[in-house]
Amino acid sequence: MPEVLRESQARILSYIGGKMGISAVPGSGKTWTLSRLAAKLISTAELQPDQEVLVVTFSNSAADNFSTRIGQLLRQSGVLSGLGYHVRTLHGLANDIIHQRPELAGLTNDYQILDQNEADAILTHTVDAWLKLNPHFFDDLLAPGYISLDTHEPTQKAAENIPGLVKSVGLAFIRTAKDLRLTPAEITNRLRDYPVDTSLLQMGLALYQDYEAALNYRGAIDFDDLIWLAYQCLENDPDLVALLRHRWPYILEDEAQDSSVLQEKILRQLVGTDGNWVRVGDPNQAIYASFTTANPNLLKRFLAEPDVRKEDLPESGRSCQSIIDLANSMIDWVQYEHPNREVRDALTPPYIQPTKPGDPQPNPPDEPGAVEFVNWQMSDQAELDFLVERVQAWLEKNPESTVVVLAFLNDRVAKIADALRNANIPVVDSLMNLPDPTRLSAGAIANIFESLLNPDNPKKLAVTFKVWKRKFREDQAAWDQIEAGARLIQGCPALENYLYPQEGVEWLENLKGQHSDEMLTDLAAFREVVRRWHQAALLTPDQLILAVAQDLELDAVELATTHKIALLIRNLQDMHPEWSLEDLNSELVDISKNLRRFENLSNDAEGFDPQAHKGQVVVATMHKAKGLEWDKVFLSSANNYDYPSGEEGEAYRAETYYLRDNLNLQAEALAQLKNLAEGFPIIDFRLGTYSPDDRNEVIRERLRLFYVGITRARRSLTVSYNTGRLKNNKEALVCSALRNRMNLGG
Amino acid sequence: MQLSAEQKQFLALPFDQTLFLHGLAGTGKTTLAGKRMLQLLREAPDEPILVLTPQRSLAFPYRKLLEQAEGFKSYSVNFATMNTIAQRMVALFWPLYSERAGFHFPYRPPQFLTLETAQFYLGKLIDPMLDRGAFSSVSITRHRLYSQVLDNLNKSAVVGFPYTEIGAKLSAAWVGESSQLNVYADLQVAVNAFRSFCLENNLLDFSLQVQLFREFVWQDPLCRRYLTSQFAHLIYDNCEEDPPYVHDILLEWLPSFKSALIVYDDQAGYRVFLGADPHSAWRLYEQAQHTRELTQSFTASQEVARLRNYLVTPEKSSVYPPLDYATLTKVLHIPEHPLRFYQQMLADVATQIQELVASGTKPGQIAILAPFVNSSSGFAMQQALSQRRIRARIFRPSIPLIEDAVIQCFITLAELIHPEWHLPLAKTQLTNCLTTAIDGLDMVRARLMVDKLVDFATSTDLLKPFDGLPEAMQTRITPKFGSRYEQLRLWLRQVDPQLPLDIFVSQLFGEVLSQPGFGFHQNISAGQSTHNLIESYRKFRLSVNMQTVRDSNQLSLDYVRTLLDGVISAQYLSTWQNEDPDSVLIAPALTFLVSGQSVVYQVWLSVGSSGWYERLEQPLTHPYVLNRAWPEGKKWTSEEESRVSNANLEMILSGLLSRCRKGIILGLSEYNQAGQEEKGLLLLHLQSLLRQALKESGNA
Repeated sequence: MPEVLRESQARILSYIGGKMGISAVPGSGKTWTLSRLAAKLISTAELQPDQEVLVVTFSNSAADNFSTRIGQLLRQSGVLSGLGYHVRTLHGLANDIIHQRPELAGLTNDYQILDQNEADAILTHTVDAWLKLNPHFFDDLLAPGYISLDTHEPTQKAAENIPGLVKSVGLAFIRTAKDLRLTPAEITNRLRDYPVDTSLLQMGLALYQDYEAALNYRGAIDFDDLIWLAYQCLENDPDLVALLRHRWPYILEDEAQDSSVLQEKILRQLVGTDGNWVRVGDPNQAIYASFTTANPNLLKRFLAEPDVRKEDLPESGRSCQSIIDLANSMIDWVQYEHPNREVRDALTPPYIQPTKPGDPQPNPPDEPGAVEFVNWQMSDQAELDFLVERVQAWLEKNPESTVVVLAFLNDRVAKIADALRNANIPVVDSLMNLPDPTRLSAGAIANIFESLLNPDNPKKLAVTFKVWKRKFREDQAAWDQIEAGARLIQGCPALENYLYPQEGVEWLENLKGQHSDEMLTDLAAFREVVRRWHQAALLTPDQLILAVAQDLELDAVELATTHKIALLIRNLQDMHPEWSLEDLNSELVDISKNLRRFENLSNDAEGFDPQAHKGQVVVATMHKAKGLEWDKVFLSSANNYDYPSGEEGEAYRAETYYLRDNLNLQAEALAQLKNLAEGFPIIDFRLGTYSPDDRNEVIRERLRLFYVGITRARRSLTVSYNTGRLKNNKEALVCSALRNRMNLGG
Repeated sequence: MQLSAEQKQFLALPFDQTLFLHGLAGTGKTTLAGKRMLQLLREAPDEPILVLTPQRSLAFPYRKLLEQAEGFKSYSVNFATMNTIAQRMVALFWPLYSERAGFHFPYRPPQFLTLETAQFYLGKLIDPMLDRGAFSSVSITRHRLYSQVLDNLNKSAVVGFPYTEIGAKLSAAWVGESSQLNVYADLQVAVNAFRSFCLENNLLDFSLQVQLFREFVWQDPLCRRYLTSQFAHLIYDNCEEDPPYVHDILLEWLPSFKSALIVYDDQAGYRVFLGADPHSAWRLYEQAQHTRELTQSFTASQEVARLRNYLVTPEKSSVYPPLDYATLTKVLHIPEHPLRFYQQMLADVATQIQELVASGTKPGQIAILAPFVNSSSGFAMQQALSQRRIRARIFRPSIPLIEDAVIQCFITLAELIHPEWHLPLAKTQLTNCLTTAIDGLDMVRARLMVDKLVDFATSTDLLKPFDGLPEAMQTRITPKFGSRYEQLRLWLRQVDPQLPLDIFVSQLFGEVLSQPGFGFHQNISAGQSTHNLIESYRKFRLSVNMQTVRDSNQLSLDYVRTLLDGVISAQYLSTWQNEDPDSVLIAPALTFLVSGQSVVYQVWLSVGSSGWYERLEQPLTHPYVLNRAWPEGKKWTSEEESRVSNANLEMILSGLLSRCRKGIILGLSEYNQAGQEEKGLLLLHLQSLLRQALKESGNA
């Protein structure tokens, strides 16, 4: 943490009020600056005891991160942490607002929020039901070759894909409708005026209606409703607005480029005309628009408002000069030379500047060949081989460095991970599947209970052994050993001879010589733990949970979750004194399947730290890599399919190949819906009208994604591509353009 | 101990008048009253003294003093609470008024109910109401429902208003959802039904005992003279913790005493939920010939006393010298790092306690206080301390007796010989029972026994003989444990199922379980638990009117059901008084305050919680609305709520800081045990104090 402030940081920290917009480049320490600003305001702004600085973040883990930093800063200044600030994601904030007056949103006090999994399950069900009722909807939409000439039914290939397509169109439709504040009834009403074929909107509407009915039946709302209803509360109750404006006299917003129209409106309401609002973001890193309702133009517009003080955080100590030059050159190329003029606004300055001499975060020294674009054509497999070879070579030379291989698609990342593993390179893929602490510990404890309920069952004890050792799950070699140990336990014919042997029949003793000493020591240690748990079985169930948790080496979040589970079990037990441990355990199993009760605890991992994986290779999608940095970055699969530019002959993922005329059904549906919302008197409902427009949005977002990818690198970057499954992909235009601009050979 | 001038002056006052002594906790009031008691014993050894306290434990310092002081005629000191006096008098004079009071069988002796048996009878009346949909809009456990209904009746008696007005009073103050009015109507029906049931069956719950004492016994000149002539002198400590009826009686009784000393704790009255009314107690002040206020604290260090002044009376704090940051943080230990989770706070606190102990503080001089201590939070704190090799004792006011494994074992064995009770028997319950009953038996073999030897399908003889098992299984269980099982099985087979539960338990203990090879052999704590169960059952049996139960089997079943419902609590008076210098106390803050103890260090857990000052959520009753001072028809609004919250916080802070010698360790985490953020008033107060101190020190 730099103690000396950069000029740009000092300017920002001199803020005392009003509206301020900050454009921050990658690696410029915006979280650091923003938490400093929050701590400064808390200690100097003369807040009343019931006032707080509100910090709005994009993700739960960012919220946790901010809380911790502000808390530490306050504690360093001598007061208690935890007071004078309120850190929330926008959804969390919306939930707080609705909680104040749920009746304004037509909700009862105990409304439920569906988690993403449940909402997803409901939508799947809705789509299935809709397809049963509308079996011929796609008959006219399919491309030749995807409809059988004999039966006039979709071919198997098309039929397999249609439910997924309907679901993703439906999801986007429902989200957008909610962001536009259109109820199903309102859409029905507006559609009445159009005497033409509105079938695509009718499809979206039908899905929306059924989905909402399912939510109402459960007395639940989803994440998108949170935002909408919060805004509704604010709109309908000026007193509530006044109360909240008093409570939050300062609002600091991080990742402002990811706000949607409605989210921004909520913050505008809370700020008021002459309120205090600081927004930090990097419009160049807006990479979520295509699957959320986020809109990066909002931040750009805000920065241009007359009463907004505009600041930049342009210095970054992250990358070496060559990589900084590359990123800046990309901004220039996009702005001035991109052949598709429509997308030239995808990236904007500020340019990245290296830190000044004496800065606590000096840029890494430049090394020759720091940036490399591989321009020879490789097949799928050839690129994998190439990556394996290069990663291996890099790690041999730089065993203490951090490395990542990035790709656009999950599938590709998984393939890369397999290829690296097959070459015995240590791979970390935890960014791809972050462990979920709630499920882990509730599930783990349910498994242990299951074994305590059946103490003579070797199979259940074997599972418990794996739960006990689950920290080693990532270490394949160790895990193989643990699996072997579990198989041994499972094969134990009489558990009492393992756990409580009588003289002469000692099961573990008889294994000596047949298995490694290490495994036998493990099994003996596990025996001690199980005996302890057996003794604890006489405690009340909530105490038993806490006692068991002691032996599971849980991290802080998991332990906190365990405490919450214990409390929950206690309450259940008080409500149902007649319940046995068996009954309580079946409830525990439910909890482990169901996250709803744990809204407050972050589900994100504690924040991924690349530094913890030196000498290993991390694999991730470009999206997951946001906010992180590595010494060496391999940016793979940089072809014109994943990074299109608008040239003739390019294919677009959203333009479904089995539909006629490369229809982008989602783009069509959303454009029609937006026009409907705007109240345009004439809306073109002919399919195919809007698909091309969406291409430019895709091109812009992929350009920013590429920018995010290259700015992850500290010392060295290698960009490669492959020709894809159909062997027709080319090098992405951005690659060849940058290669030429930077005079980099192949 | 050196006496101050003001104390010496007080002790010199003559013994022919009513004295009223008040001051904050820790100013030596009880010490002074104790000296006064000894003086009285010396000067008038044959004149009987009544030492009256709101609860028995508060008389502990006087008892201790008597034990230590030799050469006094201690028999002339009588310890009592007004409730025990009322009960004795009501029992004694029963025939004089029972008919007038409306009892259906005035010539039969009354049956005094305990809290547990009152709940038991109330349950019989309320359960059918619940089935018909009464109380449907409140969701609380049955146990709490019963206790709140009884609470209302008790309030009517100790505050002094007709029980028939409970529903109306609560309704008149209600401002929220109208469905709650139905709940109050249901409540009145339940209360009326319970009172009628008591009158029909000669049952005296606490409320009836008080009401009969006030309205009949005390009003009868004969009875009154009988009582008042027994005592010449009165020492009445902690009068602010008693309800108004006690003060009413004493106002009339005072003239009969030769001398009286009344002790009043300023800024106390913690037992509001039991009807404590400091305002009403202050009426005694006006009756006293001499009043004295003690101001010098003997407990709190200067810094703690100053902290108290700043937190409790901030508007007056300008008269005190400014509190600088260094002094403040010497008394107020704030966490070094921000902590996110509850258990991180527990670990942090445990580490600080470990350091205190390492540097010479006795664990017994440390109290860990929280707004609430539940089963898991208490256990987790105890666990965190035990990892640091520090012992802790938890004081929770009511721990269900059924949580004791020994008692569970007895009850399970009783269920085995009573299949006609139709109580569910879970396999885990039986497994635990066997591991508890048979010495050395492990869970695996116990489970094998349950799987192979218990026939859940039959209605008689659930336990099958061991030698009927295949040989291989016999070997797995081992002949040793098999023979123990057989001993137990045969004993259970021959025992008369009609035996009253206490006899069954005591025979089972004596003839089997305390024998070598069984779990309770030479096991003192199991013996204590067995004793507790027998005692508890006997109390239950004594306070149940046998005419309301069919036979002893039915009574046993009723008892077991009540026990399984968690209604019957363990009695902890003895362990509480048993001060242990080697273990840290974990207790709810209010419980600690009511105990009258003081310690060197206090740990305040969950500083952000609103539980420090908010009244308990009690959907069926309301301690403030049912208070004597509450104006008729006045609404209970959110302003009232926040006024009471502020007053409560002030009272609790004053009490805690008056009972703390050196320092407070703050336990603070971002999320509480349930994963919610908490930013309560106490936290806000402490924060502004810290900011103020920082400013004073020029660091801000």
